[in-house]
Amino acid sequence: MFFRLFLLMRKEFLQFFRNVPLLIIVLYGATLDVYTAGEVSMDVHNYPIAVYDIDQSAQSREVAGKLREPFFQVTHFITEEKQIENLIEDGKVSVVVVFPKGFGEKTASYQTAQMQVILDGSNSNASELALRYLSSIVYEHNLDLLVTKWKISNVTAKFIPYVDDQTLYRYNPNLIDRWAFCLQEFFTIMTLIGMLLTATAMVNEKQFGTIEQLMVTPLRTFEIMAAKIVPMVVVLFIATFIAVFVILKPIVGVPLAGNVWAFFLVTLIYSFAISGFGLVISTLSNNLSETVLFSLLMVVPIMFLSGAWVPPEAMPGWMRFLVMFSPLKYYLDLGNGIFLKGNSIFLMWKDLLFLTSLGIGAFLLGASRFRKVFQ
Amino acid sequence: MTPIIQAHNVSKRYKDVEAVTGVSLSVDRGEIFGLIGPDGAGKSTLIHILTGVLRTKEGQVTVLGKDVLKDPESVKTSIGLLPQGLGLALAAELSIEENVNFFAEINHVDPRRREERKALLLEKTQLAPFRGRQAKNLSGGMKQKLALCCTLIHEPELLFLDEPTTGVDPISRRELWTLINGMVREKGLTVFLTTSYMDEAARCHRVALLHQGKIIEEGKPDALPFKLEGKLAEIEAEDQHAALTILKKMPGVKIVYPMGERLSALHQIEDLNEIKGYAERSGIRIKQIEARAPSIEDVFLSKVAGQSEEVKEEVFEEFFQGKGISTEKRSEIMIETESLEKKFGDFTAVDKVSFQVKRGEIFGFLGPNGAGKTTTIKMLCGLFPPTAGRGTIAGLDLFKHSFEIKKSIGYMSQKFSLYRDLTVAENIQLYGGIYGVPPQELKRRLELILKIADLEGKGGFITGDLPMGIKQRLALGCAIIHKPECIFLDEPTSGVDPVARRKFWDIIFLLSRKMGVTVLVTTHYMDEAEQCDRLLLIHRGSVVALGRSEELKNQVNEEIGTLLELGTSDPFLAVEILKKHFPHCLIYGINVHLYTASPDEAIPSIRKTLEQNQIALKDVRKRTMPFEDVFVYFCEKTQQDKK
Repeated sequence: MFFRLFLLMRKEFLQFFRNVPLLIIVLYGATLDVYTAGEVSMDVHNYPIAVYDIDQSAQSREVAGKLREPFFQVTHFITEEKQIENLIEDGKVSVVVVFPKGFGEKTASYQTAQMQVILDGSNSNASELALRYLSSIVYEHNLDLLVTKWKISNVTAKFIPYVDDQTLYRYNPNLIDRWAFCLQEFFTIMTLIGMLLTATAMVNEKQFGTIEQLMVTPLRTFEIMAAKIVPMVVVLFIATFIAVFVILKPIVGVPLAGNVWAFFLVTLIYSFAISGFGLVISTLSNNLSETVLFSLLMVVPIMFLSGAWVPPEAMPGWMRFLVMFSPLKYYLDLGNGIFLKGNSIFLMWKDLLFLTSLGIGAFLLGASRFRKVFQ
Repeated sequence: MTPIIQAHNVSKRYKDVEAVTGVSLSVDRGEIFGLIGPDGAGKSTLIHILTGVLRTKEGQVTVLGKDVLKDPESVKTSIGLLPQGLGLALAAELSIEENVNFFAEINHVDPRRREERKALLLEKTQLAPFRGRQAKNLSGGMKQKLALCCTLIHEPELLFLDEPTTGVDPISRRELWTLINGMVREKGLTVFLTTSYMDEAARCHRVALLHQGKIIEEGKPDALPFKLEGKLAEIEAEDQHAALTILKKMPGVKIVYPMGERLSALHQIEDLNEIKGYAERSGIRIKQIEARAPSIEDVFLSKVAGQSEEVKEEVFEEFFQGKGISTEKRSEIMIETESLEKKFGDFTAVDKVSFQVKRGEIFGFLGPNGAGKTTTIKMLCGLFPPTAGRGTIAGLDLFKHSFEIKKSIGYMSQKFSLYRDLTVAENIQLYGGIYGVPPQELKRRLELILKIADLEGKGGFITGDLPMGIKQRLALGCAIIHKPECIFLDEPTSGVDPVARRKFWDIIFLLSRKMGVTVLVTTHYMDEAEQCDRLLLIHRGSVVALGRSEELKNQVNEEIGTLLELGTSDPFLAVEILKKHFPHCLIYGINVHLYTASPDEAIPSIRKTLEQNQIALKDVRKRTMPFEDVFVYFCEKTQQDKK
């Protein structure tokens, strides 16, 4: 029986290594894809903005002058109100800063002056970042104003009593975005690849009719499934190995604070869980294109609910409940925990338990559907 | 009169494969021209070149007086093309009526004219009552009729049909032919069609045999049998297998193969007694030997059968290690079913099928696609459980011992189901390993299977790259790797060329006669039926007949008489008139086929009736009935009985 299983698994490997496109996808996923994810950053550079200075005073010019690189680049000076709408509508700028009449006069006479910031709400991420930069620029300008008001020419703003909030980032003190990005991309791509590998290997048998030939042999259903899944898990494992030791550690420089074997254990459990999902997909689809579509349909909610894009805390209650069923959530938590925080898996036993039970659930569902479809 | 299609020296090459080589042909107005050849012979390529779908630089093609290769668009409004594949040209989600309308619109048919045409076509095809039904819910035959309506809606002068009858059951096939004949007669339509069924040749006015991209023979179907290279003999010997072995070695005998309990030989020997004498000198008694009229398939075989190696009996003996079975054992029941039934929802795929197969017998399942052949086989192989009924294989119960049964059966599914991306040896090793053949023994069997499949020294070849005929033999090799007692072959020769098919049947024969393996084989090739020991005719899930092919033929002969083939000056009118007196009368190519219980008395009265209607009766021949007639007869009989 073990010889039989060995032969079946060998067949699976032979087929995998002869499938060049699939091989390229897995290699790309483990290397270049993970790497390129770290090339972007959360900061916005030289964001184009427009200034509509109605006031044309020294004070307004002073504030406008502070809107500069690296954050902003003033690309348009507006002279008429209707231009605002045109610029935003055409997508030339997403931020317009308006200094109304009397801005300079009011600040000069110690009154509260107002300025207006118009943001493009359709581009909410970037707009929000821009607003944050703007606020801090205005905040600093206000400090300068206070200093001027008190005419303390020989003291700087620092001596004015105020609370200075100093932020310290644990686990990533220099706030290197690419660590988080690369890890997150890696976890996500493993999900997609893991699902596709199992599902396509299975559905190919169905499409070419070879599964029938297997079913008339004295093989048990579980043997057929095991022979299919174990090689795929091994492939995923190799991909993880490459990703960690070729890209993540040496090139991206992720610290890997925790135990690397713990991470591989988690990956192993995750691979099984995800191939269970792949098994379910393969029983739902009749050909390769359906498999790919179903996989995408499955991966998108798994990713969305994982908290990779939006934290679960930002979701409504019912959605937060669904988060429980996204295996990627646990893989993200566990992986980030081990890589960045250096957590031991015993500390995260709850995540591990949920992941394992989810894996078993998906697996059982896949197995029972497999029996139903093929028998 | 200039021909409506004229092709001269046309070739087409795909990368390194030459699909069509130097083909020249011409088709006259009002003809039904058949291009006959196995899968991969280049039929579709040729039809696509003639219709301007595919372009080639080599050769000249003139269709309706226009140069198709230079200006393919010029002919498109006056021709119709029915592409290959059941219902592939139809929009599955649209209804019958919507499909016809769609084709009318893309061909710019005037709406008022369209309604007239549509009404006429739907009535002729008997599809009118179902005009609201979606195309995907139609049977194979109905789909093909609808596709025909769609290609005819813009009133083409010339119709191209690419395998119109493939996968269509014999009854629908007959209806399709009636439709085509009607169109040719009433509208003066010209039809160019392709088929892989050799027996359909006789239904055409003129045919060309295509093999590996070349036309190997061309002419009227009546004349083709005379082009046989050599002669045919039908031999009945006391020991069929011994006779086969001896005659294979006889000089002057080109091909010899079993046909049921007899042998058929293609030879170049003047006197049949020479063959008889040769066999009897080797101690084999010949009961009967007579000349046989060749079929188109025989002509094809005689033209292309090369000196390809015979299937070696020794290889099988070595493989099974001399295992043969005694005569007593041959009377054992191997497979038995009783009212076996399979339902998918409301649909009954197999309806109370009962039969028995003896050990070592070649048992044929004959029926069109969707008749329930595959479903029955799958139930027997344990791929899914029967809904009701009872069945045993080698004494093991289908329900209780489905797992044990799997160890003693081999199965070859309809689709080629070895791993295309593995090498030949990897496939054999995999299946051998699954069945638990020990490694040392597996090595031995591997070599033998390579020999059986003509793949010696080619174990490292990628399976998907092999030619069709070799693939099928390899699949058979893998199915017997564990020396099963019983093998199930589901349409093993579908689309395989006649030569490869011949070799495949040689193996089946050896397995059965020599090794005592029970073979249950399905086919929709009517001519293969006669090579089985016994046949089960199955239609729409029910058994319509069961017995030896001779018995079935005799039964038909007894019930409706013998077949007369009439050559007349107006076959269409002749059928209309004769139908009143002879219910079993139909158009067959340019001839009329008619069944009558007393042929000698009938002939004068036929002549008289026809003469009264100014139709000349040119000649009358007695013919052996095509097996399709046997099948259709039993199907219709069952349907009438049910009513």
